[in-house]
Amino acid sequence: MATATVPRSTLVSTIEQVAAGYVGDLMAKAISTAHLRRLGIDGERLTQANVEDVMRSLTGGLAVLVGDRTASEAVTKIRRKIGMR
Amino acid sequence: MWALIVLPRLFTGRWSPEAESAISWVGGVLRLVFLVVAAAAATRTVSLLDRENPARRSQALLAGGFTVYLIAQSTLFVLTMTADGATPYPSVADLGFFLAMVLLIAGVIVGIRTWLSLGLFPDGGRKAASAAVLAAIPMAIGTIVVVRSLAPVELPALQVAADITYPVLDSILVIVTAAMLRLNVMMGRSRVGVVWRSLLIGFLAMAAGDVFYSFFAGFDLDVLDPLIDVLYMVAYGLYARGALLQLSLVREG
Repeated sequence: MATATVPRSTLVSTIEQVAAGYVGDLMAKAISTAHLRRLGIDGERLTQANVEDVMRSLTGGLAVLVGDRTASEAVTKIRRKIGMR
Repeated sequence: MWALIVLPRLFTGRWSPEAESAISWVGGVLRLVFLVVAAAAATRTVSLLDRENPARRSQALLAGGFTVYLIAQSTLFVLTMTADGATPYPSVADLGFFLAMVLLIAGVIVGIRTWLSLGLFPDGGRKAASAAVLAAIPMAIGTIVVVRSLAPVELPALQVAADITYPVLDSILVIVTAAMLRLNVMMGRSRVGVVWRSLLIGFLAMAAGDVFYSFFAGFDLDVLDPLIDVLYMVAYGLYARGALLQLSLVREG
């Protein structure tokens, strides 16, 4: 059975869209790519495990700027938008 | 309304003792209210951050700074209202103000380091450093002017020490605030951007109030007192606004 994957562009644009409201467009763009780069994820399609890693890293980074609760809420929104639980 | 009261005084240089007293009371009470709100909201924000969150340290320092400011301002308010004649200067309240400023400076420095550690600000370190250098030049000149203006006047040693400490701490606060403001600009009108801009502009207003106070005290220009009152009120109002917005952002989840 094939594992569900998420296109990189979908994940990046969704992170940008959600994060922009909290930290602005420029920072949201930086956030969306920085976590993928930091984790060494460069494929065009991301596995569930890749996405989980990005979400974990993103939660920690956003928590510094918006607090832990709000970061967790933002990541839940991103998950929902890309169709992940 | 405040402008209606203050502006005529600025232009005419006249002021009745009753109005002066009323301004002092209203201004003093408003400042205390703003500081209560800022200290309470900032402390609550710290309690909502996880212990491992790197932002917690800078938030705790800012909350501590606002709390010590509140204690110092309350002490000054009591001293002003109960003084038989001029308010004693320097007093125990000034010690509180110094400690509060050190806490705020530390909070901003730790905040900058935390933001930069995220690696999200394009060329952030260089931009922050440039802003700090740009701010340092006028602040160094201003501090020298204020300190030199004190030289010909025979003043008690403690007063001289206080008169020098204020502009030095204010200069450091302005320099680190300029660095953080440069990073903050990259956040545009976002929620985090607005929270920190409010706090940082508050720091600048407070430093401006201190500098005006120190500089014009030497020339006995009490016509500018209302302007200084307004600057402090704007500063504390912005602290309260920033701290409340921060709390609302952090507790959202």
